[in-house]
Amino acid sequence: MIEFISNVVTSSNYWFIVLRSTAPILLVTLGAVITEQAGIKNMALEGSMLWAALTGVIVSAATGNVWIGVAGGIAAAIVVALLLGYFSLKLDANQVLVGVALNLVAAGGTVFVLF
Amino acid sequence: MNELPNDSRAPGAKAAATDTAKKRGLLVSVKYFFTDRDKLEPVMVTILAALFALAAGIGLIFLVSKQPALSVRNFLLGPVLRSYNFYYLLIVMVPLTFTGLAMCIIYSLKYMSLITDASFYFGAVIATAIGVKVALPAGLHPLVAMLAAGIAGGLIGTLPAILKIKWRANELVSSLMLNYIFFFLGSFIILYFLRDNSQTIFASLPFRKTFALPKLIPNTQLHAGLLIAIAFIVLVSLFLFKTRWGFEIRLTGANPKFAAYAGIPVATVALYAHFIAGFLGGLGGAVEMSGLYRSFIWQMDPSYAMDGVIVAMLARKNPKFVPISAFFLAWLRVGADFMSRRGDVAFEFITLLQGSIILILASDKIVNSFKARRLRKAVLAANAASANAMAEATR
Repeated sequence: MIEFISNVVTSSNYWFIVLRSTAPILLVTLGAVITEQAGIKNMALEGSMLWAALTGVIVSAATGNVWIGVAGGIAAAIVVALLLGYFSLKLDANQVLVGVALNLVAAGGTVFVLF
Repeated sequence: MNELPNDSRAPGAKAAATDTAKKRGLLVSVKYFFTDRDKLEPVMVTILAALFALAAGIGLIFLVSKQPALSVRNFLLGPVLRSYNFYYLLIVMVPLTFTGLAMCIIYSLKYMSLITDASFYFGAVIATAIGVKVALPAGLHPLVAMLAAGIAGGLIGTLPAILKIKWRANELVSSLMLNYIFFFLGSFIILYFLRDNSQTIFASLPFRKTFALPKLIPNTQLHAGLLIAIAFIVLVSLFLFKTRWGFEIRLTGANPKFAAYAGIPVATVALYAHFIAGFLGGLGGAVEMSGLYRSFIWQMDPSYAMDGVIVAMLARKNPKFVPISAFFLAWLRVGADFMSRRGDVAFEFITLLQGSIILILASDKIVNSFKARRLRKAVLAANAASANAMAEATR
Protein backbone atom coordinates (compact mmCIF):
# COMPACT_ATOMS: atom_id res chain seq x y z
CA MET A 1 0.00 0.00 0.00
CA ILE A 2 2.69 2.47 1.08
CA GLU A 3 4.82 1.42 -1.86
CA PHE A 4 1.88 2.01 -4.16
CA ILE A 5 1.30 5.47 -2.74
CA SER A 6 4.97 6.40 -2.93
CA ASN A 7 5.06 5.20 -6.53
CA VAL A 8 2.07 7.37 -7.36
CA VAL A 9 3.39 10.42 -5.56
CA THR A 10 6.82 10.22 -7.17
CA SER A 11 5.54 9.73 -10.71
CA SER A 12 5.68 12.83 -12.90
CA ASN A 13 2.28 12.01 -14.38
CA TYR A 14 0.66 12.44 -10.99
CA TRP A 15 2.01 15.95 -10.60
CA PHE A 16 0.91 16.88 -14.10
CA ILE A 17 -2.61 15.83 -13.19
CA VAL A 18 -2.39 17.74 -9.92
CA LEU A 19 -1.33 20.90 -11.73
CA ARG A 20 -3.95 20.44 -14.42
CA SER A 21 -6.82 19.97 -12.01
CA THR A 22 -5.56 22.74 -9.74
CA ALA A 23 -5.84 25.40 -12.45
CA PRO A 24 -9.65 25.67 -12.68
CA ILE A 25 -10.13 25.35 -8.91
CA LEU A 26 -7.45 27.95 -8.25
CA LEU A 27 -8.92 30.44 -10.70
CA VAL A 28 -12.45 30.07 -9.43
CA THR A 29 -11.21 30.33 -5.85
CA LEU A 30 -9.54 33.62 -6.70
CA GLY A 31 -12.87 34.84 -8.03
CA ALA A 32 -14.64 33.72 -4.86
CA VAL A 33 -12.02 35.45 -2.72
CA ILE A 34 -12.55 38.73 -4.56
CA THR A 35 -16.34 38.68 -4.15
CA GLU A 36 -16.02 37.51 -0.55
CA GLN A 37 -13.85 40.58 0.17
CA ALA A 38 -16.82 42.69 -0.92
CA GLY A 39 -19.14 40.68 1.32
CA ILE A 40 -20.88 38.84 -1.49
CA LYS A 41 -21.32 35.09 -1.56
CA ASN A 42 -20.98 34.23 -5.22
CA MET A 43 -22.47 30.76 -5.43
CA ALA A 44 -23.08 31.34 -9.13
CA LEU A 45 -19.37 30.81 -9.92
CA GLU A 46 -20.17 27.26 -10.93
CA GLY A 47 -22.78 28.54 -13.35
CA SER A 48 -20.25 31.09 -14.60
CA MET A 49 -17.76 28.32 -15.27
CA LEU A 50 -20.32 26.21 -17.11
CA TRP A 51 -21.47 29.05 -19.35
CA ALA A 52 -17.86 30.17 -19.93
CA ALA A 53 -16.80 26.67 -20.93
CA LEU A 54 -19.69 26.31 -23.36
CA THR A 55 -19.29 29.80 -24.84
CA GLY A 56 -15.53 29.30 -25.12
CA VAL A 57 -16.01 26.11 -27.10
CA ILE A 58 -18.68 27.60 -29.36
CA VAL A 59 -16.84 30.88 -30.04
CA SER A 60 -13.47 29.25 -30.63
CA ALA A 61 -15.05 26.70 -32.95
CA ALA A 62 -16.87 29.43 -34.85
CA THR A 63 -13.89 31.79 -35.19
CA GLY A 64 -11.08 29.23 -35.26
CA ASN A 65 -9.10 31.32 -32.78
CA VAL A 66 -8.43 30.14 -29.23
CA TRP A 67 -8.00 33.61 -27.76
CA ILE A 68 -11.24 34.95 -29.13
CA GLY A 69 -12.87 31.85 -27.62
CA VAL A 70 -11.30 32.62 -24.24
CA ALA A 71 -12.53 36.20 -24.46
CA GLY A 72 -16.03 34.99 -25.31
CA GLY A 73 -16.01 32.61 -22.35
CA ILE A 74 -14.90 35.37 -20.01
CA ALA A 75 -17.62 37.64 -21.35
CA ALA A 76 -20.25 34.94 -20.71
CA ALA A 77 -19.02 34.46 -17.15
CA ILE A 78 -19.16 38.22 -16.57
CA VAL A 79 -22.77 38.26 -17.76
CA VAL A 80 -23.65 35.58 -15.20
CA ALA A 81 -21.89 37.55 -12.45
CA LEU A 82 -23.75 40.70 -13.49
CA LEU A 83 -27.04 38.80 -13.33
CA LEU A 84 -26.18 37.71 -9.80
CA GLY A 85 -25.38 41.28 -8.88
CA TYR A 86 -28.57 42.63 -10.44
CA PHE A 87 -30.87 40.14 -8.74
CA SER A 88 -29.21 40.18 -5.33
CA LEU A 89 -28.31 43.86 -5.05
CA LYS A 90 -30.92 45.67 -7.16
CA LEU A 91 -33.87 43.35 -6.55
CA ASP A 92 -33.04 42.35 -2.95
CA ALA A 93 -33.07 38.60 -3.54
CA ASN A 94 -31.15 36.23 -1.26
CA GLN A 95 -27.62 36.06 -2.70
CA VAL A 96 -27.03 32.38 -2.14
CA LEU A 97 -30.47 31.44 -3.44
CA VAL A 98 -29.91 33.47 -6.61
CA GLY A 99 -26.54 31.75 -7.01
CA VAL A 100 -28.08 28.32 -6.66
CA ALA A 101 -30.85 29.26 -9.11
CA LEU A 102 -28.27 30.52 -11.62
CA ASN A 103 -26.36 27.25 -11.22
CA LEU A 104 -29.58 25.38 -11.92
CA VAL A 105 -30.17 27.49 -15.01
CA ALA A 106 -26.59 26.90 -16.13
CA ALA A 107 -26.69 23.15 -15.56
CA GLY A 108 -29.86 22.81 -17.62
CA GLY A 109 -29.21 25.64 -20.05
CA THR A 110 -25.79 24.46 -21.21
CA VAL A 111 -27.15 20.99 -21.93
CA PHE A 112 -30.12 22.59 -23.69
CA VAL A 113 -27.91 24.79 -25.87
CA LEU A 114 -25.62 21.87 -26.64
CA PHE A 115 -28.61 19.79 -27.68
CA MET B 1 -43.16 41.56 33.66
CA ASN B 2 -44.48 43.95 31.06
CA GLU B 3 -44.74 41.14 28.57
CA LEU B 4 -47.67 39.50 30.31
CA PRO B 5 -50.52 41.83 29.34
CA ASN B 6 -49.18 42.03 25.77
CA ASP B 7 -48.97 38.28 25.58
CA SER B 8 -52.51 37.74 26.79
CA ARG B 9 -53.94 40.45 24.59
CA ALA B 10 -52.46 39.10 21.34
CA PRO B 11 -54.52 35.89 21.14
CA GLY B 12 -57.63 37.79 22.17
CA ALA B 13 -57.20 40.31 19.37
CA LYS B 14 -56.53 37.49 16.95
CA ALA B 15 -59.69 35.67 18.00
CA ALA B 16 -61.72 38.84 17.54
CA ALA B 17 -60.25 39.30 14.06
CA THR B 18 -61.15 35.75 13.03
CA ASP B 19 -64.66 36.25 14.44
CA THR B 20 -65.25 39.27 12.24
CA ALA B 21 -63.75 37.38 9.30
CA LYS B 22 -66.26 34.58 9.85
CA LYS B 23 -69.14 37.05 10.04
CA ARG B 24 -68.13 38.69 6.78
CA GLY B 25 -68.83 35.54 4.84
CA LEU B 26 -67.09 34.07 1.85
CA LEU B 27 -68.24 36.50 -0.85
CA VAL B 28 -67.30 39.56 1.15
CA SER B 29 -63.93 38.10 2.06
CA VAL B 30 -63.22 37.46 -1.63
CA LYS B 31 -64.15 41.06 -2.37
CA TYR B 32 -62.03 42.17 0.57
CA PHE B 33 -59.14 40.16 -0.86
CA PHE B 34 -59.34 41.97 -4.18
CA THR B 35 -59.43 45.38 -2.55
CA ASP B 36 -56.62 44.65 -0.07
CA ARG B 37 -53.62 45.34 -2.24
CA ASP B 38 -51.14 44.12 0.37
CA LYS B 39 -52.54 40.66 -0.19
CA LEU B 40 -53.36 40.98 -3.86
CA GLU B 41 -49.98 42.14 -5.16
CA PRO B 42 -47.85 39.17 -4.00
CA VAL B 43 -50.40 36.80 -5.52
CA MET B 44 -50.38 38.73 -8.77
CA VAL B 45 -46.58 38.67 -8.90
CA THR B 46 -46.61 34.92 -8.28
CA ILE B 47 -49.12 34.29 -11.05
CA LEU B 48 -47.17 36.60 -13.36
CA ALA B 49 -43.96 34.68 -12.60
CA ALA B 50 -45.68 31.43 -13.51
CA LEU B 51 -47.09 32.94 -16.70
CA PHE B 52 -43.72 34.44 -17.53
CA ALA B 53 -42.12 31.01 -17.19
CA LEU B 54 -44.74 29.54 -19.51
CA ALA B 55 -44.28 32.32 -22.05
CA ALA B 56 -40.49 31.99 -21.90
CA GLY B 57 -40.85 28.25 -22.38
CA ILE B 58 -43.02 28.71 -25.45
CA GLY B 59 -40.61 31.31 -26.81
CA LEU B 60 -37.69 28.91 -26.33
CA ILE B 61 -39.56 26.15 -28.12
CA PHE B 62 -40.20 28.44 -31.08
CA LEU B 63 -36.51 29.34 -31.04
CA VAL B 64 -35.11 25.82 -31.28
CA SER B 65 -37.81 23.50 -32.54
CA LYS B 66 -38.34 22.59 -36.17
CA GLN B 67 -42.00 21.86 -35.49
CA PRO B 68 -42.86 24.44 -32.83
CA ALA B 69 -46.65 24.15 -32.98
CA LEU B 70 -46.60 20.43 -32.24
CA SER B 71 -44.00 20.85 -29.49
CA VAL B 72 -45.95 23.67 -27.82
CA ARG B 73 -49.11 21.59 -27.95
CA ASN B 74 -47.31 18.62 -26.41
CA PHE B 75 -45.75 20.85 -23.76
CA LEU B 76 -48.94 22.63 -22.68
CA LEU B 77 -51.46 19.84 -23.13
CA GLY B 78 -49.22 16.80 -22.72
CA PRO B 79 -50.58 15.80 -19.31
CA VAL B 80 -54.18 15.65 -20.56
CA LEU B 81 -53.54 14.22 -24.02
CA ARG B 82 -52.85 10.75 -22.65
CA SER B 83 -54.42 9.26 -19.55
CA TYR B 84 -51.14 7.64 -18.45
CA ASN B 85 -49.54 11.08 -18.58
CA PHE B 86 -52.13 12.39 -16.14
CA TYR B 87 -51.45 9.53 -13.74
CA TYR B 88 -47.77 10.27 -14.15
CA LEU B 89 -48.46 13.91 -13.25
CA LEU B 90 -50.19 12.84 -10.04
CA ILE B 91 -47.22 10.60 -9.22
CA VAL B 92 -44.77 13.45 -9.84
CA MET B 93 -46.86 15.65 -7.55
CA VAL B 94 -46.24 13.40 -4.52
CA PRO B 95 -42.53 14.12 -3.89
CA LEU B 96 -43.02 17.76 -4.91
CA THR B 97 -45.75 18.06 -2.28
CA PHE B 98 -43.60 16.59 0.48
CA THR B 99 -40.55 18.73 -0.24
CA GLY B 100 -42.78 21.76 -0.87
CA LEU B 101 -44.42 21.36 2.54
CA ALA B 102 -41.01 20.97 4.16
CA MET B 103 -39.81 24.14 2.46
CA CYS B 104 -42.96 26.00 3.56
CA ILE B 105 -42.05 25.31 7.18
CA ILE B 106 -38.40 26.26 6.71
CA TYR B 107 -39.37 29.46 4.86
CA SER B 108 -41.94 30.38 7.50
CA LEU B 109 -38.93 30.47 9.79
CA LYS B 110 -37.04 32.66 7.25
CA TYR B 111 -34.29 30.06 7.00
CA MET B 112 -32.95 29.21 3.55
CA SER B 113 -31.79 25.68 4.22
CA LEU B 114 -31.90 23.14 1.39
CA ILE B 115 -31.33 20.19 3.70
CA THR B 116 -34.61 18.58 2.61
CA ASP B 117 -32.64 17.16 -0.30
CA ALA B 118 -30.43 15.12 2.02
CA SER B 119 -33.44 14.17 4.16
CA PHE B 120 -35.30 12.98 1.08
CA TYR B 121 -32.41 10.94 -0.32
CA PHE B 122 -31.41 9.46 3.01
CA GLY B 123 -35.03 8.73 3.87
CA ALA B 124 -35.19 6.73 0.66
CA VAL B 125 -32.00 4.87 1.66
CA ILE B 126 -33.36 4.06 5.13
CA ALA B 127 -36.64 2.92 3.60
CA THR B 128 -34.66 0.71 1.21
CA ALA B 129 -32.77 -0.88 4.08
CA ILE B 130 -36.02 -1.63 5.89
CA GLY B 131 -37.74 -2.73 2.71
CA VAL B 132 -34.95 -5.19 1.93
CA LYS B 133 -33.78 -6.46 5.29
CA VAL B 134 -36.74 -6.39 7.67
CA ALA B 135 -39.64 -8.83 7.50
CA LEU B 136 -42.95 -7.30 8.55
CA PRO B 137 -46.63 -7.82 7.68
CA ALA B 138 -47.97 -6.02 4.60
CA GLY B 139 -49.78 -3.04 6.11
CA LEU B 140 -47.18 -2.34 8.76
CA HIS B 141 -44.06 -2.63 6.61
CA PRO B 142 -44.30 0.65 4.62
CA LEU B 143 -45.54 2.48 7.72
CA VAL B 144 -42.53 1.42 9.78
CA ALA B 145 -40.22 2.32 6.91
CA MET B 146 -41.84 5.76 6.55
CA LEU B 147 -41.60 6.45 10.27
CA ALA B 148 -37.92 5.42 10.41
CA ALA B 149 -37.10 7.37 7.24
CA GLY B 150 -38.95 10.39 8.61
CA ILE B 151 -37.08 10.33 11.89
CA ALA B 152 -33.73 9.91 10.12
CA GLY B 153 -34.65 12.75 7.75
CA GLY B 154 -35.72 14.90 10.67
CA LEU B 155 -32.45 14.38 12.52
CA ILE B 156 -30.54 15.27 9.35
CA GLY B 157 -32.79 18.30 8.94
CA THR B 158 -31.78 19.71 12.31
CA LEU B 159 -28.05 19.69 11.46
CA PRO B 160 -27.90 23.02 9.54
CA ALA B 161 -30.06 24.63 12.23
CA ILE B 162 -27.64 23.44 14.93
CA LEU B 163 -24.67 24.71 12.90
CA LYS B 164 -26.41 28.05 12.46
CA ILE B 165 -27.47 28.47 16.08
CA LYS B 166 -24.19 27.29 17.60
CA TRP B 167 -21.60 28.62 15.17
CA ARG B 168 -23.54 31.02 12.93
CA ALA B 169 -22.76 29.00 9.82
CA ASN B 170 -24.78 30.13 6.81
CA GLU B 171 -27.51 27.50 6.68
CA LEU B 172 -27.77 27.53 2.88
CA VAL B 173 -24.08 26.79 2.37
CA SER B 174 -23.87 24.22 5.15
CA SER B 175 -27.01 22.47 3.92
CA LEU B 176 -25.63 22.31 0.38
CA MET B 177 -22.44 20.69 1.70
CA LEU B 178 -24.40 18.32 3.95
CA ASN B 179 -26.44 17.33 0.90
CA TYR B 180 -23.24 16.06 -0.73
CA ILE B 181 -22.17 14.26 2.43
CA PHE B 182 -25.46 12.44 2.86
CA PHE B 183 -25.75 11.68 -0.83
CA PHE B 184 -22.41 9.89 -0.85
CA LEU B 185 -23.06 8.27 2.54
CA GLY B 186 -26.34 6.95 1.18
CA SER B 187 -24.69 5.68 -2.01
CA PHE B 188 -22.05 3.99 0.13
CA ILE B 189 -24.69 2.22 2.22
CA ILE B 190 -26.52 1.04 -0.88
CA LEU B 191 -23.33 -0.09 -2.63
CA TYR B 192 -21.73 -1.93 0.29
CA PHE B 193 -24.66 -3.37 2.20
CA LEU B 194 -27.69 -3.50 -0.04
CA ARG B 195 -26.35 -3.88 -3.57
CA ASP B 196 -27.81 -6.54 -5.84
CA ASN B 197 -24.67 -8.23 -7.20
CA SER B 198 -26.58 -10.16 -9.82
CA GLN B 199 -27.31 -6.90 -11.65
CA THR B 200 -24.74 -5.02 -13.67
CA ILE B 201 -26.48 -1.67 -13.18
CA PHE B 202 -26.56 0.26 -9.91
CA ALA B 203 -29.46 -1.24 -7.99
CA SER B 204 -30.20 -2.39 -4.48
CA LEU B 205 -31.63 -5.79 -3.69
CA PRO B 206 -35.33 -5.94 -4.59
CA PHE B 207 -37.79 -4.91 -1.90
CA ARG B 208 -39.93 -7.47 -0.14
CA LYS B 209 -43.44 -7.85 -1.53
CA THR B 210 -44.95 -6.53 1.70
CA PHE B 211 -43.10 -3.22 1.31
CA ALA B 212 -45.10 -1.96 -1.68
CA LEU B 213 -47.82 0.62 -1.14
CA PRO B 214 -51.17 -0.39 -2.67
CA LYS B 215 -52.04 1.04 -6.08
CA LEU B 216 -55.00 3.41 -6.17
CA ILE B 217 -56.04 2.43 -9.69
CA PRO B 218 -55.15 -1.02 -11.01
CA ASN B 219 -52.77 -1.24 -13.98
CA THR B 220 -51.37 2.22 -13.36
CA GLN B 221 -48.42 3.44 -11.32
CA LEU B 222 -50.67 5.67 -9.22
CA HIS B 223 -50.04 4.66 -5.60
CA ALA B 224 -51.49 5.40 -2.19
CA GLY B 225 -48.69 7.92 -1.57
CA LEU B 226 -50.95 10.53 -3.12
CA LEU B 227 -53.42 10.08 -0.25
CA ILE B 228 -50.60 10.35 2.28
CA ALA B 229 -49.45 13.56 0.60
CA ILE B 230 -52.97 15.03 0.73
CA ALA B 231 -53.28 14.06 4.40
CA PHE B 232 -50.01 15.81 5.14
CA ILE B 233 -51.09 18.97 3.32
CA VAL B 234 -54.04 19.18 5.74
CA LEU B 235 -51.87 18.29 8.75
CA VAL B 236 -49.16 20.83 7.96
CA SER B 237 -51.73 23.57 7.26
CA LEU B 238 -53.34 22.91 10.63
CA PHE B 239 -49.95 22.71 12.30
CA LEU B 240 -48.66 25.96 10.86
CA PHE B 241 -51.80 28.07 11.29
CA LYS B 242 -53.82 26.51 14.10
CA THR B 243 -51.31 25.35 16.71
CA ARG B 244 -49.11 27.13 19.17
CA TRP B 245 -45.96 25.60 17.69
CA GLY B 246 -46.86 26.75 14.21
CA PHE B 247 -47.58 30.24 15.51
CA GLU B 248 -44.20 30.28 17.25
CA ILE B 249 -42.51 29.27 13.99
CA ARG B 250 -44.26 32.03 12.04
CA LEU B 251 -43.59 34.62 14.73
CA THR B 252 -39.91 33.66 14.91
CA GLY B 253 -39.69 33.92 11.14
CA ALA B 254 -41.38 37.31 11.06
CA ASN B 255 -39.08 38.80 13.67
CA PRO B 256 -36.66 36.64 15.68
CA LYS B 257 -35.73 39.45 18.07
CA PHE B 258 -39.34 40.22 18.89
CA ALA B 259 -40.05 36.51 19.31
CA ALA B 260 -37.13 36.13 21.70
CA TYR B 261 -38.32 39.18 23.65
CA ALA B 262 -41.83 37.74 23.85
CA GLY B 263 -40.36 34.71 25.59
CA ILE B 264 -40.31 32.25 22.71
CA PRO B 265 -37.31 29.87 22.83
CA VAL B 266 -36.09 30.81 19.36
CA ALA B 267 -33.40 28.12 19.13
CA THR B 268 -35.81 25.35 20.14
CA VAL B 269 -38.35 26.60 17.62
CA ALA B 270 -35.73 26.50 14.85
CA LEU B 271 -34.75 22.97 15.86
CA TYR B 272 -38.22 21.46 15.88
CA ALA B 273 -39.24 23.30 12.72
CA HIS B 274 -36.24 21.79 10.97
CA PHE B 275 -36.98 18.39 12.46
CA ILE B 276 -40.51 18.48 11.07
CA ALA B 277 -39.31 19.71 7.68
CA GLY B 278 -36.70 16.97 7.55
CA PHE B 279 -39.32 14.46 8.69
CA LEU B 280 -41.51 15.45 5.74
CA GLY B 281 -38.53 15.10 3.39
CA GLY B 282 -37.57 11.65 4.71
CA LEU B 283 -41.19 10.56 4.57
CA GLY B 284 -41.37 11.71 0.96
CA GLY B 285 -38.31 9.61 0.11
CA ALA B 286 -39.81 6.54 1.76
CA VAL B 287 -43.15 7.05 0.00
CA GLU B 288 -41.36 7.30 -3.35
CA MET B 289 -39.49 4.06 -2.66
CA SER B 290 -42.43 2.00 -1.51
CA GLY B 291 -44.91 3.48 -3.96
CA LEU B 292 -42.99 3.61 -7.18
CA TYR B 293 -39.94 1.35 -7.20
CA ARG B 294 -39.07 -2.30 -6.82
CA SER B 295 -35.49 -1.54 -5.78
CA PHE B 296 -33.35 1.51 -5.08
CA ILE B 297 -32.03 2.71 -8.45
CA TRP B 298 -31.18 6.40 -7.93
CA GLN B 299 -27.66 6.71 -9.24
CA MET B 300 -27.94 10.48 -9.16
CA ASP B 301 -29.44 12.66 -6.49
CA PRO B 302 -32.98 13.41 -7.69
CA SER B 303 -32.63 16.94 -6.20
CA TYR B 304 -36.18 17.40 -5.08
CA ALA B 305 -35.20 20.19 -2.68
CA MET B 306 -34.88 22.79 -5.42
CA ASP B 307 -38.29 21.74 -6.69
CA GLY B 308 -39.53 22.07 -3.13
CA VAL B 309 -38.13 25.62 -3.07
CA ILE B 310 -40.10 26.47 -6.21
CA VAL B 311 -43.26 24.85 -4.88
CA ALA B 312 -43.01 26.67 -1.56
CA MET B 313 -42.26 29.99 -3.24
CA LEU B 314 -45.17 29.64 -5.65
CA ALA B 315 -47.38 28.72 -2.70
CA ARG B 316 -46.07 31.78 -0.84
CA LYS B 317 -45.13 29.64 2.19
CA ASN B 318 -48.77 28.64 2.69
CA PRO B 319 -49.30 24.85 2.82
CA LYS B 320 -52.86 25.34 1.55
CA PHE B 321 -51.56 26.39 -1.85
CA VAL B 322 -48.91 23.67 -2.07
CA PRO B 323 -51.17 21.30 -4.05
CA ILE B 324 -51.82 24.02 -6.65
CA SER B 325 -48.17 24.91 -7.11
CA ALA B 326 -47.07 21.26 -7.03
CA PHE B 327 -49.70 20.56 -9.68
CA PHE B 328 -48.38 23.44 -11.80
CA LEU B 329 -44.77 22.29 -11.53
CA ALA B 330 -45.71 18.68 -12.18
CA TRP B 331 -47.66 19.85 -15.23
CA LEU B 332 -44.56 21.66 -16.54
CA ARG B 333 -42.43 18.57 -15.85
CA VAL B 334 -44.72 16.06 -17.47
CA GLY B 335 -45.44 18.36 -20.40
CA ALA B 336 -41.72 18.91 -21.00
CA ASP B 337 -41.02 15.20 -20.68
CA PHE B 338 -43.79 14.31 -23.15
CA MET B 339 -42.61 17.00 -25.55
CA SER B 340 -38.96 15.96 -25.42
CA ARG B 341 -39.84 12.34 -26.14
CA ARG B 342 -41.94 13.29 -29.15
CA GLY B 343 -40.05 16.22 -30.54
CA ASP B 344 -36.68 17.88 -30.88
CA VAL B 345 -36.62 19.96 -27.69
CA ALA B 346 -34.43 18.74 -24.82
CA PHE B 347 -36.03 18.07 -21.42
CA GLU B 348 -33.36 20.24 -19.76
CA PHE B 349 -35.17 23.37 -20.87
CA ILE B 350 -37.44 22.88 -17.86
CA THR B 351 -34.55 23.86 -15.56
CA LEU B 352 -34.31 27.18 -17.40
CA LEU B 353 -37.96 27.85 -16.57
CA GLN B 354 -37.57 26.70 -12.96
CA GLY B 355 -34.48 28.85 -12.47
CA SER B 356 -36.24 31.93 -13.82
CA ILE B 357 -39.25 31.30 -11.55
CA ILE B 358 -36.92 31.19 -8.53
CA LEU B 359 -35.12 34.34 -9.64
CA ILE B 360 -38.35 36.31 -10.03
CA LEU B 361 -39.96 35.08 -6.83
CA ALA B 362 -36.78 35.50 -4.77
CA SER B 363 -36.59 39.14 -5.77
CA ASP B 364 -38.39 40.79 -2.87
CA LYS B 365 -38.20 44.20 -4.46
CA ILE B 366 -40.46 43.29 -7.36
CA VAL B 367 -43.34 42.85 -4.92
CA ASN B 368 -42.24 45.56 -2.55
CA SER B 369 -41.89 48.15 -5.31
CA PHE B 370 -45.67 48.18 -5.82
CA LYS B 371 -46.19 48.77 -2.12
CA ALA B 372 -43.45 51.40 -1.95
CA ARG B 373 -44.99 53.28 -4.88
CA ARG B 374 -48.41 53.14 -3.26
CA LEU B 375 -47.04 54.37 0.06
CA ARG B 376 -45.14 57.17 -1.64
CA LYS B 377 -48.32 58.27 -3.43
CA ALA B 378 -50.28 58.15 -0.18
CA VAL B 379 -47.65 60.20 1.64
CA LEU B 380 -47.51 62.76 -1.17
CA ALA B 381 -51.30 63.02 -1.19
CA ALA B 382 -51.36 63.43 2.58
CA ASN B 383 -48.67 66.10 2.37
CA ALA B 384 -50.58 67.93 -0.34
CA ALA B 385 -53.77 67.73 1.72
CA SER B 386 -52.09 69.08 4.83
CA ALA B 387 -50.45 71.84 2.78
CA ASN B 388 -53.87 72.75 1.40
CA ALA B 389 -55.31 72.75 4.88
CA MET B 390 -52.49 75.00 6.05
CA ALA B 391 -53.14 77.35 3.15
CA GLU B 392 -56.85 77.38 3.98
CA ALA B 393 -56.14 78.11 7.63
CA THR B 394 -53.75 80.99 6.95
CA ARG B 395 -55.99 82.59 4.34
